Amino acid sequence: MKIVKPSYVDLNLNSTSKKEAISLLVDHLCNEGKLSQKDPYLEAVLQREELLSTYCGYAIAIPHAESAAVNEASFVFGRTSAMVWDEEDELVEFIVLLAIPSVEEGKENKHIEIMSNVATIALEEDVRKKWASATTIEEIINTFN
Amino acid sequence: MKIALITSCLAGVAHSKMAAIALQKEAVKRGYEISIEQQGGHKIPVKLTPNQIEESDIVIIAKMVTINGKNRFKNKLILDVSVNKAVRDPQSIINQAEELIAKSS
Repeated sequence: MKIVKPSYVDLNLNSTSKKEAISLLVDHLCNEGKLSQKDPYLEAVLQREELLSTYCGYAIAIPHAESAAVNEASFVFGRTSAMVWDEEDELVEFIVLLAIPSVEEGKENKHIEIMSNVATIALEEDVRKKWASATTIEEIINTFN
Repeated sequence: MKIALITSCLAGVAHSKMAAIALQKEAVKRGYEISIEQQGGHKIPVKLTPNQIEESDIVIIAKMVTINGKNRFKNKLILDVSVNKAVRDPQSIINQAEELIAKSS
């Protein structure tokens, strides 16, 4: 299973809304040079979220979008004090934002496979415990091995 | 018990795969056989073979919106669940599958 490492880890993503949290994480992707343009990608992520929430249970949300504005398949990790992601649902503490480059129509997007491996890591209880207790960025990065 | 599982979400990025893994884990834990087809927007899935469908005691469909090719399962026992539920609570879904099979036999 091929896995990439987070491009950026934010242990104190202090945000009060889903939109703000996503926007802050998109800024991180942008600062790391993973996006050629911020707005079209941000727009795509928010649109996807509107269609159906990416809350996955276990206090984890995995917002994502495939966009031509993505330079390289990458993701950023954010930890926040428990926040409302969706009304009337459980609170979110961990956010993994996935950026997936577009491929030509009709072709298989191999990036999706790689990025979806990141999502499955979140299913491990041990991993989530480490995410909750980590005091350094390295501790988070090491869970993506 | 043999399970044929289809998971489906919009792009196949997060939920479809997480649901497949969560249910597989739970099924294997209970000593069941499980074959899986993951559907998502990005590629043509590896399909369940007619044989896998034929031999299964139950077909579990964990979906977000809809799945392709449901007509393959006529005459089969079908358990229809949401893909989110499959990720969050695989135990209860396998429980449901057990109950359905017990009822039908």
